[in-house]
Amino acid sequence: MRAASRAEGRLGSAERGGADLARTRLTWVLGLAVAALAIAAPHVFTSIAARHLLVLIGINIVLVASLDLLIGGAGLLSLGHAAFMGVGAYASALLVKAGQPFAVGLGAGLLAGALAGLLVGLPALRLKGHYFSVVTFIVGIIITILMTNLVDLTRGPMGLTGIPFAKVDLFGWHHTFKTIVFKVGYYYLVLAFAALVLLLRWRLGRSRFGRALTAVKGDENLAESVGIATYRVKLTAFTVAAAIAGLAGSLYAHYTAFISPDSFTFVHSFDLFVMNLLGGAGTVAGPIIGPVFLTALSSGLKGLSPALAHVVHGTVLILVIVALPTGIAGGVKRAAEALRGRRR
Amino acid sequence: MSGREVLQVEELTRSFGGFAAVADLSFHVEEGEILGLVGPNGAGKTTTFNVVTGFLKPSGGKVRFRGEDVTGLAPHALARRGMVRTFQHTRVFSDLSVADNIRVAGHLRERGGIWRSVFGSPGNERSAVQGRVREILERVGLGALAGNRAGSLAYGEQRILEIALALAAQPQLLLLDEPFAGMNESESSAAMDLIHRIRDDGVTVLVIDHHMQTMARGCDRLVVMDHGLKLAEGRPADVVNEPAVVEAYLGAGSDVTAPATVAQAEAVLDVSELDVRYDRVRALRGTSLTVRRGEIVALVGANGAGKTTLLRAVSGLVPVTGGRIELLGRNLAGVSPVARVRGGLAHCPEGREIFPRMTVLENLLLGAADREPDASASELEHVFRLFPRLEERTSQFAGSLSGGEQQMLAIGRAVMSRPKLLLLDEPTLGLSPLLAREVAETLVRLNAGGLSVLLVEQNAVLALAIAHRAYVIENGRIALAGPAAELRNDESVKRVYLGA
Repeated sequence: MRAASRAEGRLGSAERGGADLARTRLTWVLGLAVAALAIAAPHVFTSIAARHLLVLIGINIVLVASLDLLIGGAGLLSLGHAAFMGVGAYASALLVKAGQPFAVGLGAGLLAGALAGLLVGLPALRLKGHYFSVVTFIVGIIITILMTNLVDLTRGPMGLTGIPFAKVDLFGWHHTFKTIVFKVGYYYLVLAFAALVLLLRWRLGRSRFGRALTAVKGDENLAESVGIATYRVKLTAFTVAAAIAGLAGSLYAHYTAFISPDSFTFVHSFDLFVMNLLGGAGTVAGPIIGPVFLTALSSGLKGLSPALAHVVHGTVLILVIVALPTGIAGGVKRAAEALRGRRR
Repeated sequence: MSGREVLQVEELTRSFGGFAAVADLSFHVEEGEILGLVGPNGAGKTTTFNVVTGFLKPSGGKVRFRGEDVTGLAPHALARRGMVRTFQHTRVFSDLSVADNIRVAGHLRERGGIWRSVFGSPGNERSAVQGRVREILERVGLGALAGNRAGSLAYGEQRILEIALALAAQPQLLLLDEPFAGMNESESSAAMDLIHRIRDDGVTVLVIDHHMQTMARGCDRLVVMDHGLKLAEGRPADVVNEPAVVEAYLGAGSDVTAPATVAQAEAVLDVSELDVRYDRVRALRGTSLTVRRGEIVALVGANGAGKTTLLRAVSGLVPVTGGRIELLGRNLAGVSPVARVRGGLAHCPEGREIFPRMTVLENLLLGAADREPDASASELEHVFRLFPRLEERTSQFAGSLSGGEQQMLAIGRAVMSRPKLLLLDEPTLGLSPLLAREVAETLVRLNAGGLSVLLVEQNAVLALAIAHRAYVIENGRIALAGPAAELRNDESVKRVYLGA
């Protein structure tokens, strides 16, 4: 087995180039298939309930892809990601309610998320490992407590109602996304953002910055010793991830037209965390698979009594994580590699 | 040699608590040379390294790199200035391929932050990086393994990859922390050749290792440390013959009274043809030794020779891949560590493993965890007779004891189970000569009470003074065996430690 893997390392470059080419082609085919499925989805699942789930999956993909920059990219297990989403959601909702256009709201969500991420990251990233995770978890709770108690700004537990729908005014094309009934338009808007964020995540993963993150994940001391400013790299990643979460918050606020602190609790943070691990942290497909799988699982269990649904839900998660420690995408990748190895 | 000083270390001090691991150390590295920093275990070499490379803050003193005061700068800032280090325990990015390891470590060679990462064009940057990765891997001889996962490499190859990682950061000064640890003779001489090639390419090298033989052969100059202080400095041939260096490596204390010799008695411990491997390293290769009733047997040898592994194999803490261990005539294959203790074995590991947050009394009672409460009372009395100082401190936290007292507590706890055979690992490590002698005398007293002892000791002179018989172990094999009194005067013992 060891001999076989050594031989692979010694492969001639021409042969390796051929394998690379085949893999690139397969990636393109798979990517286009997923894109086609995503575009067709709201016309296959036509009920309002199903389309609602599709929009939520799209928003969760944006969130998980950004969280994966931390977990899969830098090995930073952040457990408070939904709080940054909440910060963005409130910033955007308040500004647009005050009369600003939707685009300004989106930008504000992004900036508010970034600012919150920077402020939390500055002290939290001085800590390592479990301590960092615990701090992000607690900060997530503190942020929702602030949302509940800054009543003058947020209306506290009553939440913000009547958040204006997204209005887009683009080169003479006007459209208001009335999302209560007509979900398809907004779904495509969310899909565009999801695609953008996935592209960003993919490019980052293959860049100098992404390699610096990989180094931090692998061995922080070693990374320092080859000249990587680990603290700054982590802070940048944390701020960018929080900014994207803020953007997702804005998308969420103008979709549901109502937000309250309950939408951004640690339960949602934890769901995002599970989606990331389950889909496959550090993979391109993971942030798509995780939200789709978990959403499909919970809606598939709707028919059961709530107590039983919880038990089945939990059991399935445990089974998947035990069977596929690197997530679904990681498991598929390994199976494909094993298959290729056997064929050769 | 141009004589320009690349690195200047001035009166460097680093204390942990009240203990100065490095005290007032000054030395310099000249451009284009290979300087070796050597010294026995616990001398303060790695602490010096960590302070110089920014992983620890100094308590006092200065570090200058190419004239600039860089004291207390972060490691990445030092790497940016051209000072790059490796680590004692192999550190590579084991989940990445060999080529990706180099690519990651080439961080400083590439440009651009997160914006360029997203919006820049990846094309020509990538091909330039790839060319450089190939060049480095060819240079260290790992070119054929570029596609392999770093974690799947053999141990020696991982150590070379580690050096390649450091090279990818384009150092002007390369600092190597124990690059020869765990290597056999041919591997370490190949690694030394590589270090020479790197120097010939214009990189100045500071290397630390306790392996005097390889270092004396390969370095231009040596700085010898012990107990945080500089003992000697100069050309290797001169340094290894300085009395202070010889004493640091072989130890002092030959004036301890030797125990009376024992008549041929039956074997308490019989180890035959023992094999132990860690992952890819063969730590023990067909090692055999015997401890008879009433004997103190010393096992001496350089660091990494397999001494601790042998003790751990006997007490069942590492799996054995071949051979046989018998305790009082009973084969220990498949016997759990706990059952071995019940069978009369006590192991006192290196580093004085006591429970610092428990009192002295609690620590001692743990050693007798198996016994009836009233039985342990008589054991306690026995221990207090041996170590009166422990009786004065029964309710004190063990962590507040001095180093020597902690060692006595560790031995006392081992003795609480009334063992037939005591395995002692480096009991005088880090102790002052006076305390070391006190520990040695206690061992002689314990032995006079009928206890058999297998003693692993860095201080060979002390060990050979109190032992009846001794074994010299080298690279996992017994190189020499015989009565301790004879080995005391054997030149080959000196060779094992100093290579002289």
